[in-house]
Amino acid sequence: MPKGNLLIVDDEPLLLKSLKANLEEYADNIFIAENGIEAMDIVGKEEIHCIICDINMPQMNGVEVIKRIRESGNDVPFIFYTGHGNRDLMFEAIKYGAFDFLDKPLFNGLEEVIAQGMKNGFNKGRDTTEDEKEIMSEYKRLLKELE
Amino acid sequence: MSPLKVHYLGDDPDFIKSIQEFIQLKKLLVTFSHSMEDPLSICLDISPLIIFLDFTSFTCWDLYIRQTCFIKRTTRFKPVLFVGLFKDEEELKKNDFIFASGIQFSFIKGGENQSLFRDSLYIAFDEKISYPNYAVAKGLLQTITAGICSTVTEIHPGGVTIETDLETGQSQISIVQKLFPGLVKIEAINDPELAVRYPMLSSIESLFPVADPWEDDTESSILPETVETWIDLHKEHLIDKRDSVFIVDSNFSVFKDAFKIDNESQLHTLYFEALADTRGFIEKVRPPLIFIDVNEQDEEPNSLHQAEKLIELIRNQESYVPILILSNMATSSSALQKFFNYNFVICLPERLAGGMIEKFSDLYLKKKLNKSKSFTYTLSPSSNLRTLDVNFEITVIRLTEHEIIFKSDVSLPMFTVLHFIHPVEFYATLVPHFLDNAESRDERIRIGLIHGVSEKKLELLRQFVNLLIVKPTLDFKTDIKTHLIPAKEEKKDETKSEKKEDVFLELETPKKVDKVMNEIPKRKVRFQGKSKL
Repeated sequence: MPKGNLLIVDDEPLLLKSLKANLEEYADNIFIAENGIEAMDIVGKEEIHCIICDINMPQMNGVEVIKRIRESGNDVPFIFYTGHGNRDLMFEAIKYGAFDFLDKPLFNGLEEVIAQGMKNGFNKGRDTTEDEKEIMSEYKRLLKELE
Repeated sequence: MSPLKVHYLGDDPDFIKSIQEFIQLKKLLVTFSHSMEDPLSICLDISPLIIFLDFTSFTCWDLYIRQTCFIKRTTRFKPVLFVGLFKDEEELKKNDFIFASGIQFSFIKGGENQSLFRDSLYIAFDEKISYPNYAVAKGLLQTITAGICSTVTEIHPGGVTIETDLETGQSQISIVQKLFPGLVKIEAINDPELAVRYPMLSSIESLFPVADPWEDDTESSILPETVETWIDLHKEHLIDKRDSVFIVDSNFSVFKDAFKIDNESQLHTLYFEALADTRGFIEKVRPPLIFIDVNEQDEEPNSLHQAEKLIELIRNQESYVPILILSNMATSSSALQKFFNYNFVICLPERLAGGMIEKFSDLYLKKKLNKSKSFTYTLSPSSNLRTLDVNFEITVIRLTEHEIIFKSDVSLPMFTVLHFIHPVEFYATLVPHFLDNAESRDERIRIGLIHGVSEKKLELLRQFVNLLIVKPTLDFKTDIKTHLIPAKEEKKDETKSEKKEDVFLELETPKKVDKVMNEIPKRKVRFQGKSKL
């Protein structure tokens, strides 16, 4: 069963390498970009189903990357990893439709979030009832938690 | 300046004609429309500032009363003046719950329409309409009781919750209720708080004065069994409402759907135009579900920034964890939960829709209903049992057949409806002073426009005013009975002598002068405190 293509964007080559190695089982192809320009270039050429991106990068930060990609009409799921003090950037990223956030450097729940993001990106525009089902199941989960 | 909108919900051609003629005659910049649409549709589609509800034209009173309550609870439609038109006084009396349902003025059809139009325009628009010169009884110092038209909102075995227009920190009031006719008064147990069920200003918790085990029910006490039996006997008229849901939507796009849930389910629905308006209500009501149609721009009332403030407020409440459903969100629930650091957030990609609210509400009720048994009931909005008067003393200074001017230390919001028994039974809506003078600058001196009286009773009031002009010391409670009413009866009896002893009969011809005053100076917003409109 096809899983789709993942793009990882980070200005730290070592982290890119390590993430790529850890996430291989979640995607058919993993692309890497060291900055926003490279990321935009890849998104322009390849069909990307999910992007994982550092929110805080020099020159072009993660919010700028999502903004430009959204402006090109692409609503691919964006997962940002954020560090302490990135609240304003997170707020901006939410406005552009960030799919999820991960804490850097622990990356708690990384695999689960990536799997969700890939699934969401791969099924995008195919079945809206699926989205509604997910929303209702999350709601049921919260109701149960409140009990 | 855009025209002021007035709508008539009814099918009386004579009324339509008379209001059209009035608008033409007075050259008013008013757009008049009429239809038989329901109040909710009229507000959403036309958005008038006055709606005349002709209760002689339709039978679905219950639905329309529920709608006016719902409409008038919102900030957007709070300024709409609903005027109830009735066939006769008896019908109005039977349905006096209208004054605790967002209807702030009334009229007995067959009376002088012009006065109704003038008063309505003055209340709603501050419109300069010249009033006739009414005969004025001045220099009065009569102490009588005035009642704020109020409502019971909840009944539980220990007491009731009341909603009224009384402001906080008031004393010297008494509550006269109808649920237990033998029990004359019940006492408030704490200071008024925000009203949430009806379009009133505040709510008061009160406890039934429970009789000692060896005592019977008295005027000042009640047996616990009496309340329990009453609840059992009235169960079919009682509504078992559980929780409230809040809907925050600046577009009013699901207003009708929200009303449907409020009307048909076991959930109360409170509709807010802006998140800022929910403050106070969140703390008091603690709704388990809050729906917010999020605005995209930061400066808009329901932006993400505002939602963040709401979460801060929620976090400061003890043992309160509501689920927030945010619509029009491109992001995921998980992202927002992490951003807010609050796990009970759901994001919906689409704009808020009635179907979705219903699904969330139904599921909540299913979970909740299995778990708890309610002992708190509400009465139907169209049940007369729920109405009551919160009474206080006033000193009448001046009286005409059109208005009552009185002094009171009780602080009341503008446009509150008061119920008077003396000198005749009538209702009065508090309005700003017509003129800028020393009286108008005294916060304790208030004007109420008289309404809800038949032509016959108005004539009696007119006669009593004429009497008071001559004898200002006449007692409101007794002298109208001892002098005026028997005299009128006597007059009808043609076999009796025509000679009358009392001076008032010579004054029976109304002193009303038809000479129209010059324009009343435009009302200045000089009143202190809160306003109902």
